[in-house]
Amino acid sequence: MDLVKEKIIVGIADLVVVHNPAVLVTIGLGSCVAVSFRDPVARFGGLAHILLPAIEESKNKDNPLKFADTAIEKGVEMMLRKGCLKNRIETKIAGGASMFSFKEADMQIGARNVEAVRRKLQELKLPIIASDTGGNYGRTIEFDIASGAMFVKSAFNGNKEI
Amino acid sequence: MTELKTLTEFQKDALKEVGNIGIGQATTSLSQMVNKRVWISLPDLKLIPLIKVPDLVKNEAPVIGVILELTGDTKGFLLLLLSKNSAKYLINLVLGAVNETETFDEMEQSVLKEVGNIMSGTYITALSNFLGISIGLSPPLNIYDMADAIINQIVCMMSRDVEDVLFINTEFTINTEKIDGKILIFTDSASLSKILDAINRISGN
Repeated sequence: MDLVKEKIIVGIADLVVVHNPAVLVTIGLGSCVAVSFRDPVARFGGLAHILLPAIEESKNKDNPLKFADTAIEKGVEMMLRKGCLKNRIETKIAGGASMFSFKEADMQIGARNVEAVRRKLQELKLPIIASDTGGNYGRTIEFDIASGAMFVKSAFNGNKEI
Repeated sequence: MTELKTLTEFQKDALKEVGNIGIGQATTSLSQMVNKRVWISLPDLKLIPLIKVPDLVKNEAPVIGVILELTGDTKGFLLLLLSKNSAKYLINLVLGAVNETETFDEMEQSVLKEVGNIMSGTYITALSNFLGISIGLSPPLNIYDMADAIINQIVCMMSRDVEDVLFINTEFTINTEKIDGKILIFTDSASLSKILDAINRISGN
Protein backbone atom coordinates (compact mmCIF):
# COMPACT_ATOMS: atom_id res chain seq x y z
CA MET A 1 0.00 0.00 0.00
CA ASP A 2 1.17 3.43 -0.87
CA LEU A 3 1.52 5.60 2.18
CA VAL A 4 1.27 8.83 0.22
CA LYS A 5 -2.06 10.36 1.12
CA GLU A 6 -4.46 11.17 -1.62
CA LYS A 7 -4.54 14.88 -2.45
CA ILE A 8 -7.89 16.27 -3.47
CA ILE A 9 -8.09 19.70 -5.07
CA VAL A 10 -10.89 21.91 -3.83
CA GLY A 11 -11.70 24.51 -6.48
CA ILE A 12 -13.29 27.91 -6.14
CA ALA A 13 -16.89 27.72 -4.83
CA ASP A 14 -16.33 24.06 -4.03
CA LEU A 15 -16.80 21.91 -0.94
CA VAL A 16 -15.32 18.46 -0.27
CA VAL A 17 -16.03 16.24 2.74
CA VAL A 18 -14.11 12.96 2.98
CA HIS A 19 -12.95 10.27 5.38
CA ASN A 20 -9.38 9.74 6.57
CA PRO A 21 -6.77 9.66 5.13
CA ALA A 22 -6.76 12.45 2.62
CA VAL A 23 -5.26 15.89 2.13
CA LEU A 24 -7.56 18.61 0.83
CA VAL A 25 -5.77 21.26 -1.21
CA THR A 26 -6.82 24.68 -2.40
CA ILE A 27 -4.38 26.57 -4.60
CA GLY A 28 -3.86 30.31 -4.76
CA LEU A 29 -6.35 31.83 -2.36
CA GLY A 30 -6.51 35.58 -2.77
CA SER A 31 -9.51 37.27 -1.20
CA CYS A 32 -11.36 33.97 -0.95
CA VAL A 33 -11.46 32.09 2.35
CA ALA A 34 -10.88 28.38 2.98
CA VAL A 35 -12.80 26.88 5.91
CA SER A 36 -11.86 23.44 7.20
CA PHE A 37 -14.12 21.14 9.24
CA ARG A 38 -12.94 18.12 11.21
CA ASP A 39 -14.45 15.59 13.56
CA PRO A 40 -11.42 13.82 15.07
CA VAL A 41 -13.50 10.91 16.39
CA ALA A 42 -15.55 10.14 13.29
CA ARG A 43 -12.36 10.83 11.28
CA PHE A 44 -14.12 12.92 8.67
CA GLY A 45 -12.95 16.28 7.47
CA GLY A 46 -13.90 18.85 4.88
CA LEU A 47 -12.77 22.02 3.16
CA ALA A 48 -14.89 24.79 1.65
CA HIS A 49 -13.55 27.53 -0.66
CA ILE A 50 -15.89 30.52 -0.45
CA LEU A 51 -15.68 33.75 -2.44
CA LEU A 52 -18.43 36.04 -1.18
CA PRO A 53 -19.85 36.88 2.25
CA ALA A 54 -23.59 36.34 1.96
CA ILE A 55 -26.08 34.85 -0.46
CA GLU A 56 -28.66 37.63 -0.08
CA GLU A 57 -26.15 40.24 -1.31
CA SER A 58 -25.78 38.49 -4.65
CA LYS A 59 -27.91 38.72 -7.78
CA ASN A 60 -27.34 35.14 -8.70
CA LYS A 61 -28.09 32.57 -6.00
CA ASP A 62 -27.65 29.39 -8.06
CA ASN A 63 -24.56 28.15 -6.28
CA PRO A 64 -24.77 28.19 -2.46
CA LEU A 65 -21.13 27.08 -2.23
CA LYS A 66 -19.97 30.52 -3.33
CA PHE A 67 -21.11 32.19 -0.14
CA ALA A 68 -19.76 32.03 3.42
CA ASP A 69 -23.14 31.57 5.09
CA THR A 70 -24.63 28.92 2.79
CA ALA A 71 -21.37 27.02 2.15
CA ILE A 72 -20.70 26.62 5.87
CA GLU A 73 -24.25 25.37 6.44
CA LYS A 74 -23.78 22.86 3.63
CA GLY A 75 -20.40 21.75 5.00
CA VAL A 76 -21.80 21.10 8.47
CA GLU A 77 -24.82 19.34 7.00
CA MET A 78 -22.56 17.01 5.01
CA MET A 79 -20.41 16.28 8.07
CA LEU A 80 -23.50 15.41 10.14
CA ARG A 81 -24.85 13.19 7.40
CA LYS A 82 -21.58 11.21 7.50
CA GLY A 83 -22.14 10.56 11.20
CA CYS A 84 -20.09 13.39 12.69
CA LEU A 85 -21.33 15.04 15.86
CA LYS A 86 -21.78 18.78 15.82
CA ASN A 87 -20.16 19.35 19.20
CA ARG A 88 -17.00 17.57 18.02
CA ILE A 89 -16.52 19.61 14.82
CA GLU A 90 -13.49 21.90 14.87
CA THR A 91 -12.78 24.50 12.21
CA LYS A 92 -9.78 26.41 10.87
CA ILE A 93 -9.81 29.32 8.45
CA ALA A 94 -7.27 30.86 6.06
CA GLY A 95 -7.18 33.40 3.25
CA GLY A 96 -9.11 36.65 2.93
CA ALA A 97 -6.19 38.75 1.71
CA SER A 98 -6.42 42.05 -0.09
CA MET A 99 -3.63 41.82 -2.64
CA PHE A 100 -4.41 44.99 -4.60
CA SER A 101 -7.07 47.66 -4.56
CA PHE A 102 -8.35 50.22 -7.04
CA LYS A 103 -10.74 51.79 -4.59
CA GLU A 104 -11.54 51.83 -0.89
CA ALA A 105 -14.08 49.00 -1.17
CA ASP A 106 -11.51 46.63 -2.70
CA MET A 107 -9.45 46.83 0.48
CA GLN A 108 -12.31 45.30 2.42
CA ILE A 109 -13.08 42.43 0.09
CA GLY A 110 -11.02 39.79 1.92
CA ALA A 111 -11.78 41.18 5.37
CA ARG A 112 -15.52 41.04 4.69
CA ASN A 113 -15.26 37.39 3.70
CA VAL A 114 -13.34 36.56 6.89
CA GLU A 115 -15.85 38.46 9.01
CA ALA A 116 -18.79 36.64 7.39
CA VAL A 117 -17.12 33.26 7.96
CA ARG A 118 -16.42 34.05 11.62
CA ARG A 119 -19.97 35.27 12.15
CA LYS A 120 -21.51 32.13 10.64
CA LEU A 121 -19.25 29.79 12.59
CA GLN A 122 -20.06 31.62 15.80
CA GLU A 123 -23.77 31.44 15.04
CA LEU A 124 -23.44 27.65 14.62
CA LYS A 125 -21.26 27.50 17.78
CA LEU A 126 -18.39 25.85 15.93
CA PRO A 127 -14.99 26.67 17.45
CA ILE A 128 -12.26 28.17 15.22
CA ILE A 129 -9.14 26.54 16.62
CA ALA A 130 -6.65 28.25 14.28
CA SER A 131 -6.61 30.91 11.59
CA ASP A 132 -4.28 32.70 9.20
CA THR A 133 -6.15 35.50 7.46
CA GLY A 134 -5.72 38.97 5.99
CA GLY A 135 -2.51 40.48 4.68
CA ASN A 136 -1.73 41.37 1.08
CA TYR A 137 -0.50 38.05 -0.28
CA GLY A 138 -1.88 34.82 -1.75
CA ARG A 139 -1.92 31.48 0.05
CA THR A 140 -2.06 27.80 -0.89
CA ILE A 141 -3.71 25.57 1.72
CA GLU A 142 -3.22 21.88 2.44
CA PHE A 143 -5.48 20.39 5.08
CA ASP A 144 -4.50 16.96 6.41
CA ILE A 145 -7.60 15.25 7.70
CA ALA A 146 -5.67 12.59 9.63
CA SER A 147 -3.83 15.08 11.85
CA GLY A 148 -5.99 18.15 11.43
CA ALA A 149 -2.90 20.16 10.47
CA MET A 150 -3.39 22.97 7.99
CA PHE A 151 -0.31 23.98 6.01
CA VAL A 152 -0.33 27.51 4.64
CA LYS A 153 2.16 28.27 1.85
CA SER A 154 2.89 31.65 0.31
CA ALA A 155 5.22 32.96 -2.40
CA PHE A 156 7.25 35.38 -0.27
CA ASN A 157 5.75 35.35 3.23
CA GLY A 158 6.93 31.93 4.36
CA ASN A 159 5.14 28.68 5.03
CA LYS A 160 3.49 27.73 8.27
CA GLU A 161 1.41 25.11 9.97
CA ILE A 162 -1.66 26.22 11.88
CA MET B 1 -30.37 43.84 -20.95
CA THR B 2 -30.42 40.09 -21.52
CA GLU B 3 -27.45 38.12 -20.33
CA LEU B 4 -25.45 36.38 -23.01
CA LYS B 5 -24.77 32.74 -22.38
CA THR B 6 -23.16 31.70 -25.62
CA LEU B 7 -21.54 33.37 -28.58
CA THR B 8 -22.42 32.54 -32.16
CA GLU B 9 -19.59 31.82 -34.59
CA PHE B 10 -20.25 35.19 -36.22
CA GLN B 11 -20.00 37.00 -32.90
CA LYS B 12 -16.78 35.16 -32.05
CA ASP B 13 -15.24 36.05 -35.40
CA ALA B 14 -16.33 39.67 -35.07
CA LEU B 15 -14.82 39.92 -31.58
CA LYS B 16 -11.58 38.37 -32.80
CA GLU B 17 -11.39 40.77 -35.73
CA VAL B 18 -12.01 43.76 -33.50
CA GLY B 19 -9.49 42.41 -31.00
CA ASN B 20 -6.88 42.10 -33.74
CA ILE B 21 -7.12 45.80 -34.50
CA GLY B 22 -6.19 46.54 -30.91
CA ILE B 23 -3.51 43.91 -30.82
CA GLY B 24 -1.84 45.33 -33.90
CA GLN B 25 -1.57 48.70 -32.16
CA ALA B 26 -0.36 47.20 -28.89
CA THR B 27 2.32 45.24 -30.73
CA THR B 28 3.57 48.37 -32.43
CA SER B 29 3.78 50.32 -29.21
CA LEU B 30 5.59 47.56 -27.29
CA SER B 31 7.91 47.15 -30.26
CA GLN B 32 8.79 50.86 -30.13
CA MET B 33 9.34 50.71 -26.39
CA VAL B 34 11.79 47.80 -26.49
CA ASN B 35 13.12 48.54 -29.96
CA LYS B 36 12.64 44.93 -31.10
CA ARG B 37 10.13 43.08 -33.22
CA VAL B 38 7.15 41.84 -31.29
CA TRP B 39 4.66 39.16 -32.28
CA ILE B 40 1.40 38.64 -30.51
CA SER B 41 -0.66 35.50 -30.99
CA LEU B 42 -4.23 35.59 -32.19
CA PRO B 43 -6.35 35.68 -29.08
CA ASP B 44 -8.09 32.69 -27.65
CA LEU B 45 -11.56 33.90 -26.81
CA LYS B 46 -14.20 32.23 -24.67
CA LEU B 47 -17.37 33.08 -22.82
CA ILE B 48 -17.08 31.04 -19.63
CA PRO B 49 -18.40 30.95 -16.07
CA LEU B 50 -16.29 33.26 -13.92
CA ILE B 51 -15.44 30.56 -11.40
CA LYS B 52 -13.93 28.40 -14.16
CA VAL B 53 -11.28 31.01 -15.01
CA PRO B 54 -8.72 29.70 -12.46
CA ASP B 55 -8.82 26.27 -14.17
CA LEU B 56 -7.55 27.85 -17.38
CA VAL B 57 -4.57 29.51 -15.79
CA LYS B 58 -3.42 27.11 -13.03
CA ASN B 59 -0.08 28.49 -11.96
CA GLU B 60 1.06 28.51 -8.37
CA ALA B 61 4.47 30.00 -9.20
CA PRO B 62 4.95 33.66 -8.40
CA VAL B 63 4.46 35.89 -11.42
CA ILE B 64 4.36 39.58 -12.13
CA GLY B 65 0.81 40.78 -12.57
CA VAL B 66 0.00 44.21 -13.97
CA ILE B 67 -3.68 44.91 -13.40
CA LEU B 68 -5.87 47.64 -14.88
CA GLU B 69 -9.54 48.17 -14.24
CA LEU B 70 -11.83 48.79 -17.22
CA THR B 71 -14.08 51.81 -16.78
CA GLY B 72 -16.69 53.62 -18.86
CA ASP B 73 -19.12 51.54 -20.93
CA THR B 74 -17.47 48.28 -19.93
CA LYS B 75 -16.75 46.70 -16.59
CA GLY B 76 -13.91 44.34 -15.91
CA PHE B 77 -10.17 43.96 -15.64
CA LEU B 78 -7.19 43.64 -17.89
CA LEU B 79 -4.35 41.57 -16.53
CA LEU B 80 -0.83 41.13 -17.89
CA LEU B 81 0.96 38.14 -16.37
CA LEU B 82 4.71 37.66 -16.81
CA SER B 83 7.05 35.03 -15.40
CA LYS B 84 9.96 36.40 -13.38
CA ASN B 85 12.46 35.63 -16.14
CA SER B 86 10.37 37.22 -18.86
CA ALA B 87 9.80 40.29 -16.71
CA LYS B 88 13.57 40.62 -16.15
CA TYR B 89 14.15 40.16 -19.90
CA LEU B 90 11.73 42.99 -20.70
CA ILE B 91 13.29 45.26 -18.07
CA ASN B 92 16.71 44.58 -19.54
CA LEU B 93 15.46 45.61 -22.99
CA VAL B 94 14.08 48.86 -21.66
CA LEU B 95 16.76 49.85 -19.14
CA GLY B 96 19.74 48.10 -20.71
CA ALA B 97 20.49 46.48 -17.34
CA VAL B 98 18.73 44.34 -14.81
CA ASN B 99 19.28 43.24 -11.20
CA GLU B 100 19.76 39.51 -11.00
CA THR B 101 17.73 39.36 -7.82
CA GLU B 102 14.60 37.48 -6.86
CA THR B 103 12.70 40.72 -6.38
CA PHE B 104 11.96 43.83 -8.41
CA ASP B 105 13.17 47.24 -7.28
CA GLU B 106 11.13 50.40 -7.68
CA MET B 107 12.64 51.29 -11.05
CA GLU B 108 11.99 47.79 -12.40
CA GLN B 109 8.44 47.82 -11.12
CA SER B 110 7.72 51.09 -12.85
CA VAL B 111 9.08 49.69 -16.12
CA LEU B 112 6.66 46.77 -15.82
CA LYS B 113 3.76 49.09 -15.05
CA GLU B 114 4.69 51.15 -18.07
CA VAL B 115 4.78 48.07 -20.30
CA GLY B 116 1.33 47.09 -19.02
CA ASN B 117 0.09 50.63 -19.40
CA ILE B 118 1.32 51.14 -22.95
CA MET B 119 0.16 47.79 -24.25
CA SER B 120 -3.28 47.92 -22.70
CA GLY B 121 -3.69 51.63 -23.35
CA THR B 122 -3.11 51.27 -27.08
CA TYR B 123 -5.18 48.11 -27.21
CA ILE B 124 -8.17 49.59 -25.46
CA THR B 125 -7.95 52.95 -27.25
CA ALA B 126 -7.92 51.25 -30.65
CA LEU B 127 -10.87 49.13 -29.62
CA SER B 128 -12.97 51.97 -28.25
CA ASN B 129 -12.22 54.25 -31.23
CA PHE B 130 -13.17 51.56 -33.67
CA LEU B 131 -16.35 50.58 -31.85
CA GLY B 132 -17.35 54.12 -30.96
CA ILE B 133 -17.91 53.25 -27.32
CA SER B 134 -16.12 54.62 -24.33
CA ILE B 135 -13.75 52.19 -22.61
CA GLY B 136 -11.43 53.68 -20.05
CA LEU B 137 -8.57 52.26 -18.02
CA SER B 138 -7.46 52.90 -14.47
CA PRO B 139 -3.78 53.49 -13.76
CA PRO B 140 -1.90 50.16 -13.52
CA LEU B 141 -1.19 48.33 -10.29
CA ASN B 142 1.48 45.73 -10.09
CA ILE B 143 1.97 42.77 -7.86
CA TYR B 144 4.41 39.87 -7.56
CA ASP B 145 2.64 36.81 -6.18
CA MET B 146 1.06 33.45 -7.09
CA ALA B 147 -0.78 33.75 -10.44
CA ASP B 148 -3.72 31.80 -9.04
CA ALA B 149 -4.11 34.13 -6.10
CA ILE B 150 -4.07 37.26 -8.30
CA ILE B 151 -6.83 35.75 -10.45
CA ASN B 152 -8.64 34.57 -7.33
CA GLN B 153 -8.97 38.15 -6.13
CA ILE B 154 -10.22 39.37 -9.53
CA VAL B 155 -12.82 36.58 -9.48
CA CYS B 156 -13.90 37.68 -5.98
CA MET B 157 -14.14 41.30 -7.10
CA MET B 158 -16.31 40.47 -10.11
CA SER B 159 -18.38 37.63 -8.73
CA ARG B 160 -21.03 39.59 -6.89
CA ASP B 161 -22.76 40.68 -10.11
CA VAL B 162 -21.18 38.50 -12.74
CA GLU B 163 -21.74 34.87 -13.71
CA ASP B 164 -20.03 34.60 -17.10
CA VAL B 165 -17.06 36.48 -18.44
CA LEU B 166 -15.49 37.03 -21.80
CA PHE B 167 -12.03 35.59 -21.30
CA ILE B 168 -9.45 36.68 -23.87
CA ASN B 169 -6.02 35.13 -23.68
CA THR B 170 -3.08 36.28 -25.82
CA GLU B 171 0.58 35.27 -25.84
CA PHE B 172 3.53 37.16 -27.23
CA THR B 173 7.08 36.86 -28.53
CA ILE B 174 9.86 39.45 -28.68
CA ASN B 175 12.53 38.87 -31.31
CA THR B 176 12.77 35.12 -31.02
CA GLU B 177 12.44 35.07 -27.23
CA LYS B 178 9.10 33.58 -26.33
CA ILE B 179 7.75 35.69 -23.51
CA ASP B 180 6.32 33.52 -20.81
CA GLY B 181 3.33 35.68 -20.28
CA LYS B 182 -0.30 36.23 -21.01
CA ILE B 183 -2.70 39.08 -21.45
CA LEU B 184 -6.09 38.30 -19.96
CA ILE B 185 -9.17 40.44 -20.32
CA PHE B 186 -12.17 39.84 -18.09
CA THR B 187 -15.39 41.57 -18.93
CA ASP B 188 -18.94 40.83 -17.85
CA SER B 189 -21.73 39.85 -20.22
CA ALA B 190 -23.51 43.23 -20.01
CA SER B 191 -20.34 44.92 -21.30
CA LEU B 192 -20.01 42.22 -23.91
CA SER B 193 -23.55 42.96 -25.14
CA LYS B 194 -22.57 46.62 -25.57
CA ILE B 195 -19.51 45.61 -27.57
CA LEU B 196 -21.59 43.28 -29.77
CA ASP B 197 -24.23 45.99 -30.30
CA ALA B 198 -21.47 48.32 -31.47
CA ILE B 199 -20.17 45.65 -33.86
CA ASN B 200 -23.68 45.22 -35.27
CA ARG B 201 -24.01 48.97 -35.77
CA ILE B 202 -20.72 49.13 -37.67
CA SER B 203 -21.40 46.10 -39.81
CA GLY B 204 -24.87 47.46 -40.61
CA ASN B 205 -26.78 44.52 -39.16
